[in-house]
Amino acid sequence: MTNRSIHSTVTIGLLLFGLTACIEPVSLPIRQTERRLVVEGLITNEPPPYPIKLTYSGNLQSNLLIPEELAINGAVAFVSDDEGNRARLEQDPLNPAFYWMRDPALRGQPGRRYSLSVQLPDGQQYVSKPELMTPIAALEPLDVRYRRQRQDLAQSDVYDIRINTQDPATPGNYYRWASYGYLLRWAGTDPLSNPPFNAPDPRGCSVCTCWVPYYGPLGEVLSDALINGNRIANRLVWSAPVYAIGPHYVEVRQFSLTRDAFQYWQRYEQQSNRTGSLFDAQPASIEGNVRQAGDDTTRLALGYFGASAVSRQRVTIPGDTINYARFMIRFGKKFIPPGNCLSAYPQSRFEPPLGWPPRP
Amino acid sequence: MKPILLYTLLIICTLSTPTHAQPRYVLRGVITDAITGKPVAGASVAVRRGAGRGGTRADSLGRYRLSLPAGFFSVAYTSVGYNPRVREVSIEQDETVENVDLKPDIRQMDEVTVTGRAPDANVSAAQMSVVRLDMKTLKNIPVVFGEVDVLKALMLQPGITSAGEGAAGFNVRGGAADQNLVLLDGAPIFNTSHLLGLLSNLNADAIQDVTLYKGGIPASYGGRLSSLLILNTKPGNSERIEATGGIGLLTSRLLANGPLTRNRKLTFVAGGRIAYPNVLLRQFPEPTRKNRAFFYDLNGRLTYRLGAGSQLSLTAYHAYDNFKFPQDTLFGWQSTLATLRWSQRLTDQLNLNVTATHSDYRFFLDGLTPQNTYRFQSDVRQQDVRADWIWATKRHRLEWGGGFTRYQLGPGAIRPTGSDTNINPQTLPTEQAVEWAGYVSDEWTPVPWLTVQAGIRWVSFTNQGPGVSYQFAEGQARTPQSITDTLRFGAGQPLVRYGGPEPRLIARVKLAANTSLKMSYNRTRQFLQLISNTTSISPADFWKLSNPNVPPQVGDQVAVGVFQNLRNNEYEVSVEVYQKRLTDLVEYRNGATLLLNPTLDADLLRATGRAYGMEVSVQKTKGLLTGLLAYTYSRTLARVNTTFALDQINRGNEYPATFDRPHNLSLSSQWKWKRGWTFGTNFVYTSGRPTTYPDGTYRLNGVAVFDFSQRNADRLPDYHRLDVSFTKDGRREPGQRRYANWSVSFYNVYARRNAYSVYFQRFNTTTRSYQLSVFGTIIPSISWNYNY
Repeated sequence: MTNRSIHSTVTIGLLLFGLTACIEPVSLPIRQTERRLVVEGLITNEPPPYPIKLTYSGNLQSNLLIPEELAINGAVAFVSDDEGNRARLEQDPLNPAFYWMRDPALRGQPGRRYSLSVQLPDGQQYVSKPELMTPIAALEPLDVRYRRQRQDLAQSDVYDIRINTQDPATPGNYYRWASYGYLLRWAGTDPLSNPPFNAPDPRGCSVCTCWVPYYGPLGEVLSDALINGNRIANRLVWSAPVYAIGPHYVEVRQFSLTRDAFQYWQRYEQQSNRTGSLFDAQPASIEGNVRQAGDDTTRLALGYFGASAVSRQRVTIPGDTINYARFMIRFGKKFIPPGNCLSAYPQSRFEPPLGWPPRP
Repeated sequence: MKPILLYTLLIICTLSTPTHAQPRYVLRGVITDAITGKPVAGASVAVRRGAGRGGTRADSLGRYRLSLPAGFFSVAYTSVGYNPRVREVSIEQDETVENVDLKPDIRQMDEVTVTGRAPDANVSAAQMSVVRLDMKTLKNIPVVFGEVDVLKALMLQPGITSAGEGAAGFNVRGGAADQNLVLLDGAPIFNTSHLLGLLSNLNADAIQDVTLYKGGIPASYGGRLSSLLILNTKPGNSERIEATGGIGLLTSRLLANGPLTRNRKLTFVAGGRIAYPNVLLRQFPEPTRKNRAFFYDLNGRLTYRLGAGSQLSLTAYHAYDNFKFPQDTLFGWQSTLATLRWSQRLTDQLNLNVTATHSDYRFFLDGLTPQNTYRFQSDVRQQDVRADWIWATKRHRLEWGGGFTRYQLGPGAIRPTGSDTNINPQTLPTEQAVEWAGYVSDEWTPVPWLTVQAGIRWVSFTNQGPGVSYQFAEGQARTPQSITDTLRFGAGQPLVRYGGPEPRLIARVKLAANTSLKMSYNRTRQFLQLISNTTSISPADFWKLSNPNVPPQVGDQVAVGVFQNLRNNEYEVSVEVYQKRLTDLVEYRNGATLLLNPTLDADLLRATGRAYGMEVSVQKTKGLLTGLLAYTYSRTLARVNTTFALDQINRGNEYPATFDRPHNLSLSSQWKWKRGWTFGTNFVYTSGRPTTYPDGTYRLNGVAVFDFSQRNADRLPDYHRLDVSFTKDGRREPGQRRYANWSVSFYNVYARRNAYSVYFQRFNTTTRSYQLSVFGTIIPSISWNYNY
């Protein structure tokens, strides 16, 4: 909290002398050291499967999410709990580096500890420190507010999604939030010139509307150190973009974290917030709870194997309170690409996903 | 003393000169200052033309005496700081009296102000590794924004660096910024920065002298590992009331001093600076223009002369800073110091000083985000009482004394402000400690070529309750989970005691009349550390006392140097090498929470450090062109190695400290022109600061993340800069009371974009690096001062 404020303030402090301060790109070679194991996995109290990703660190230069040479294939991995249950992970045949925990017997339960063990193709063994799944408070109904962006930023307006929850009286609760949404978007035409129904249209779109998913950023972690036992009220978790007027489905998930996981994600945030100020904390590897087993236990893996209890809250935003004509005057066809909706937006779908209200 | 000796010697010489057939007569007189009428001590008298050649020097009362045969002579009277004068003298009687007054040379006027330092002190004094700033030349050194700055001037000296341009604090011989004891009139200053470190909070107008000990720290002081910086407020003019004021781009200042009573026994100094950075801020576009910054500082001193050799003084200092970031935070810090000192000459050889000081430093931060409004505060209070005796004879200078110190620290407290806030109040327990210290030291000159200064300081530090001490489980890394027991201590109960002897030793061997070899060794302990995990110290950092889990830092330093003066002390040359060993330095576990962490002890790591280097300095101290050329080669390395992987930094390998900058060259010169103009230049070159570049990337949560696995394995590009300044001394004639000074400076003349830091960002599929420069262009500034 305070560090961040100082940080941004200092950046501005430098700007104070911004008449003279300057930022310019420089070319520096990126040093390469030995590759390191990166673990990304989370076990929750929701039913399996849980994906666990095993990759190497290296040089990310392609557009691929995971370059072939950095994906780990052929590892043998297990998830186990503190009662001696153990399940082997199945490697995804299509998605390199993905391993799935599908055993319903190992569905996460708050109060239990879970750990991951990995044997890499080269024989190295890694094991995670058993992670306690701590309980999570329920999410109260979400608070949604429409917010107009400043015109000059040339960005869409947003729905500010805020959560409310009650922190338990016991200290040592740590939180994190994730959100996603589905928005009904248009292609080829706009709803003013074409009422929203999906007949083949002579003006250029065969499928004029479709559901497009949007993902909020993994929100900042929060500790109850300063607010123990109070309500966490009106905490902004996502500003969901409004590219079209119409129904908008939003879901927020609230995760519990251990202190270790909280610190891990805090370091992760700290690093992504670096601005080159002298008030940045000293950089270091973001190491988590996975380390090599056997001879050299000083070798730490990157990433984290976590265990979180989850509570969810959904909201359907009808979007009928916004004046469409004014919206169109402001943005025109800026957010309406030509052609077929399903091909204009990757990951889009004609029907909303299961569990959400059907197409209006 | 010296001129009299010389004079007597000369008299003896002249007396013992075998008399020729020609009878010799005496030419004598008094040399005085044409303006003040005061005698010019040590002025030289030389016979330039005529039958007899010879010369002498005036004694401390300006008197001279020469023995000459009869005839006509041309006699030249010269002294540093005065225009030479030549008189035609005819010697035809037993005794000729020729009184001469010398007019001060306005260009050299400042040199006459006695610095209290012998001209050959570089060679003759036992002390080594000391930097004394000449407050007069300080005004002629080019500065950024036209603000004369004591700390920035120190950076030109060998062995003194900083983490970066505009960074707070300074590093001496590879020591951390919190390892410098900064004493203003004996009271410690815990934060020396204004505007986040862009300026220092020491008002150069109010300061009489600045002395920095990089090594060979006197036995009378301790408490910090790396250096001792002593600053003293001006005593105040006892003749008349003087005032000086100035206006610059960033601050305005005013200082007055003079007698308060008719008998002139009571004198005062009062002054301050006030800043208006908002004027600059408003020139910027949104949102920068909404930021607000402000600072001021005040200095005051009262001196009362109780009688001959007896004086009582009271000094006070206050500095305040704040910085506001709209709708988010306001933070500020303030220092308050007070010193009461009684100096008494007990006998001709024995002096006593009794000093009581109080220092109070506070930092606060107001959170202004709706529903999270709060005030965070941390503070340090230190009170000292000490007595020091000095007994000086021809061969000995014995110093002894002792003191008592009380520390009280509030490491952090947060309280909600406003009615609609989610923040709970929280206060970390205060820390308190007492410290007793005693010392004795003797500077002994058994034979003229040898001086030994040997001393010992004994210190005892007790961290006192109320407080808690955590016991950690053996055989595992310290974490809050590995706390096995919490011991609670009542008020006044000792939590832990630390201390012991700190030997100090200096030896000076005179190799030749103008050359000496000096050696020093000192041990220091530090019981108070700044908790800061950033590259440079930030105002949010707070202080922490040594406790059962955090032992004091200990430093040992050995230094050897050769000192030589050339051309009648015009040039001072020195070469010093040093080596340091530091133990129990404080480091931080990766990702440690520092603020408001009740189990901070579990996040602190113990480091060892070593530093070594060589400093070469050539200084020209006299004449119209003066200056300093300094070159330093130095290294500073640290290591954190434990058996637990999580507690290691850089996998237990040694790494360069953040302020490890091996090559350091500075050239600064002041050249006096006619009509009161001085042309000043600085050229500075240093190796880049160590930094950590990424050595791998990986994807987590779909985002590319850098891996910084090797601490400080890389270096920023080298830093260099040239500054020039033109200073106009408005005095038309010596002794003029009202005059204005102008100063125009150009900082970073060739507009080099020196890297302040380099950071990395992902841009689609590539990693891009950006370099941030603070002063990426030439910065002109102007400042005006008026003396009344």
